[in-house]
Amino acid sequence: MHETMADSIQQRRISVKPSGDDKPRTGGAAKVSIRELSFHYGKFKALDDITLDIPPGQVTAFIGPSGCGKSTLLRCFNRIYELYPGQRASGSILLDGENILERGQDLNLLRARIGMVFQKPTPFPMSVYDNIAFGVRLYENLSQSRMSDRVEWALRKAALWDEVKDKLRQNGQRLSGGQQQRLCIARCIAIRPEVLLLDEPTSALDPISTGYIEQLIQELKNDYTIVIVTHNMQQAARVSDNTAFLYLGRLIEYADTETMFTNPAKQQTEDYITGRYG
Amino acid sequence: MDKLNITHHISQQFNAELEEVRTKVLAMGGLVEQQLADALVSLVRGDGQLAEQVVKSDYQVNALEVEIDEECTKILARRQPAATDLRLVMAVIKTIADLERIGDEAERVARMAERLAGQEVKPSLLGEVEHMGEMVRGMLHNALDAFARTDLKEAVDVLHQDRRVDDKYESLTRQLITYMAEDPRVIPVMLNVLWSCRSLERIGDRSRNICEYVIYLVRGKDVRHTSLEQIEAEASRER
Repeated sequence: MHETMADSIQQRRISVKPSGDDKPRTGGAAKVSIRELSFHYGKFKALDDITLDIPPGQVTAFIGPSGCGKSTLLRCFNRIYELYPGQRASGSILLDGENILERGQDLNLLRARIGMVFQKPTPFPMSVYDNIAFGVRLYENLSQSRMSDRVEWALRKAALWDEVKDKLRQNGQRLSGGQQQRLCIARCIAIRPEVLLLDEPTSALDPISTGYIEQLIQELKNDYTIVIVTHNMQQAARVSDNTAFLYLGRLIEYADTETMFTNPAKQQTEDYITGRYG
Repeated sequence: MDKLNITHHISQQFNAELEEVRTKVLAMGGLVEQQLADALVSLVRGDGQLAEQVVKSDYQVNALEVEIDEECTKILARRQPAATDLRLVMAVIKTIADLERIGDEAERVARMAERLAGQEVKPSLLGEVEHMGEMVRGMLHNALDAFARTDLKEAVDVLHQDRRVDDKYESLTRQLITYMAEDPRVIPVMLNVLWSCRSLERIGDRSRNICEYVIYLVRGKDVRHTSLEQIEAEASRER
């Protein structure tokens, strides 16, 4: 018998541990391994026993209704939640096998390895050039010419160079919304992170700018491990290789994107992605 | 069909669009069933007038196919369906293509009936053809029923019926060859009967296809080009 498409989809399903005895996919292949992660905002438990693996060089999308914990999960990756009191995570998040939730981790270094881009473009009130150079100066001591090379490299990588090469000294906040978001991505990749976290990066953008960012994600995934949180399910279907569906702080289903959008295993996933009230 | 909860979307408009497409498929199926029934009667009774009606009515089926295709395209463009909804739209697009071809085969049977009208054909042979036709009509009816109810058991039953139709076709073919070998003068008439049987057999195959789409729709598994045993196992699998 020839292997049908459905067979191969079935075989590629990524095992998760939201319920039952399925063991999470293990092995050194994962760039980020989340194990039994729970997260509290004060007394409120926002994430409950999440276990999943983020493979390297791929795009992983987190989807789910508002308040399901997807942004919270993303915020755990670089411990940005520690900026706020009363927020705490338990369990472990292994970046290349090293638990980043452990005390004693150098948070600045961690945030250089795991960069983050937010929903609303957040360019600094300074020139396009300095927006990129600012982060690099924190971590590296580059000569003027090498810094210029780095700025150009990051802007080219973020598909923005051609549009801003003549206005590098212009204030970054004067760019269009789509350009500002690409500037933020350029700023993020300028410090050469290993993992790129995108928290609804196109929700404030028009379709053309969204198209540029999505194309950029496809190009960047060869060099980075990308995790994206999106409310736009078609976007998750378009850009991601794997999709995790979260609901009320729990991981309901995690599989390759093709399976998730054609034949999800769980009824809750089905109801969510098809817009049913379930 | 609402085992698939197609009326449970938050968007009532989307519910209505899917429901309308589904209803039109069943209406198209009803037309095709009628075409086949009339073609069979015209063949067995030698009713040239009824045969002509079948040929003329094919445009309705073709028009419905185009209409449903357009609606599916609209749904894909505007709703970007996923999971069951996506599989439903895909199953509909494939089902109507098969229904349209079943209509064409029924038309072909009717054309043969026009040619055979007034010709002498052994009543026993016509009886056999009628029997095969009834088997195929039953298959088509059950396939449409399986689609309407998303009934896996009925879908698998149709696949079993297809085996019996294939056997019947083979036996009739052998019989017709024997007649032609015995008396070459009957060859033109027997060829018309043979082509009618061939069309009926193809209708059986296409009814089987529809049932495979029903299994894909419900199970999310493409069972085309797999054995009947594998399909049965898939249909009875616990989800």
